[in-house]
Amino acid sequence: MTEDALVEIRNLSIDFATGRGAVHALREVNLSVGRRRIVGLVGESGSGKSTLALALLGLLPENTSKVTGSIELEGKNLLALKPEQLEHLRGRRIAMIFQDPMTALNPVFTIGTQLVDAQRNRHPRLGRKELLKRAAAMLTRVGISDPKTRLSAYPHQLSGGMRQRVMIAMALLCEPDVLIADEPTTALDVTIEAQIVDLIKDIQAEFSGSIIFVSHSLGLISELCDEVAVMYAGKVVESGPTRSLFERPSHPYTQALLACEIDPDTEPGERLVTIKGGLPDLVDVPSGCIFAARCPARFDKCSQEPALREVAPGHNAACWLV
Amino acid sequence: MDILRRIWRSPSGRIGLIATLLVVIGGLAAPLIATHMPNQIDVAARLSPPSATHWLGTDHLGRDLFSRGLYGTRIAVGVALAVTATALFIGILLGVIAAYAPTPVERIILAVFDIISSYPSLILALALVAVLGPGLLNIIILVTIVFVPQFGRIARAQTLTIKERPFLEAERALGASGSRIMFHHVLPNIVGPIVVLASMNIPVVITLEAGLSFLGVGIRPPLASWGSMLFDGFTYLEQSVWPVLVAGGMLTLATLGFTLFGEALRDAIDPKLRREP
Repeated sequence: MTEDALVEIRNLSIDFATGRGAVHALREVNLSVGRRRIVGLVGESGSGKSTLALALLGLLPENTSKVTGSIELEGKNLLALKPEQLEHLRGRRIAMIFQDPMTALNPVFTIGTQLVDAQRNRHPRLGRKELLKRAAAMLTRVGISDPKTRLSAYPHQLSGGMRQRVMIAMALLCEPDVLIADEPTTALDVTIEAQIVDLIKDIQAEFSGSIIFVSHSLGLISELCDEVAVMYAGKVVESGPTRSLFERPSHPYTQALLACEIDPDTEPGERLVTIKGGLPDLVDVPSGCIFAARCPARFDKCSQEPALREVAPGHNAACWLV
Repeated sequence: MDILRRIWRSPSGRIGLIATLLVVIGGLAAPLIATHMPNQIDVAARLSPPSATHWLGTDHLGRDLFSRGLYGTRIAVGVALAVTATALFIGILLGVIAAYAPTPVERIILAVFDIISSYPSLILALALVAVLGPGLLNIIILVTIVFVPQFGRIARAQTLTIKERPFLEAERALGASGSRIMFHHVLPNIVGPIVVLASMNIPVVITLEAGLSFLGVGIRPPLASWGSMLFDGFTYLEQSVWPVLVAGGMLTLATLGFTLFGEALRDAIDPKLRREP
């Protein structure tokens, strides 16, 4: 599978400089994304999902102090590229859908203008009229009725769900090879979330690129993704095909996350399951297994750091119990 | 048009709009309306009160005050618009750059702003006249320098408030370059408050230019300027009050008009200050 991977992340470590010292946001992350695949990234806030997404786009914040490893897109290392080359890549080969559609659209331009702008990198030769026509077709494609009127609307005139559809249309108009969706449904209500997820599924069917879907909801991931990587405190603790991972969750953290999913049969008054404790300090990372402090199955060996080991074909977990 | 209607709705806005229009039209149409050439001397009728030939009287050289006042409008409004537009442009440019530049560059720009605005504007203008010399173009240049910092500061502050907004990151993710972000996406989001500031800045420039001309270091005679007209009238005040009244009255009308108009514009644009009837 590694051979036909579109994106191959190897040993990626990223540090941010802070007043207290270097925050190790990502540590030796390995991830491969095959062509026409949806790969899910799960983990709680602060686990490094968004950092990974930004690293793919080459948009790491200014206080990034150390980046090692490699991110390869069709064999080309993105980390070695110059800023202009990355700029050229963004909006052509890699595009992103943001978390909050309420704030991710420029309030002073019409939807049409923004959709035209989004295509400029991809189709520098086409005129505005042509680009608007493509934008209207794409709006229809993402399920927005009456696209002609919507093109001249401003973002505040649209509902949240519609804005997220516009964001998706914007990203798709770039015809990217890799589409990163950073919790695209977090800011939406449940019915809209379901519609957006259906839309992404639909798109995948005719889309030739890959999708990286970042979420903290295992439920969404199981519905949508071919493969999953579970992240904890900057590391991938378990990864594998969705089916295998959900049938045999092998890392205690994955198991705990699954246990935390809200069960509709929960009786009123019954306590929801939580994982006790919080993320370890990423400035001064404890040695041994990073999840040990919160792990119910902790034992002597956990003072040493476990490597990823194969549970099933393509399914790995970093735990001594595996 | 909606904004104009809102300005019209408030009484002070209405006065401001009418006064502003009077001044602007008067200045633009000066050659058509003026009854005499502004520099035409009629020694026989020196310091005369208003009459059928000289509607608002004449000055100490017998020049027609009505016509000179109208031509003075052109200078006053022309200088104010030129200065405000240039200061606006340079200020926005420096402000946006300061917000995005690395810290040392930002510090330098802000230090220059601080130095300029730590002097009272008239004193600084006088000092700059001493360096550049008087004259129309120099006045425009030096008054512009005086007014750049306030636009620059507002532009920087506005840019900082929207710099981290997600839509800018979204634009970057879609491949927009740094300069495109700055001038195509940030700029339209910050111009609102700055344009209001600019409209309120016009009367300030008008009085500053009049002040410099009054002190004899501004617009050079024989070019008609309200400030130099005031000074000449002041010299002959015991013989006729008309030169001072005309120049002072026009100066008051213009500053009052632009101020009221600017305030009404601010209220009309800012939804938080909008008073619904």
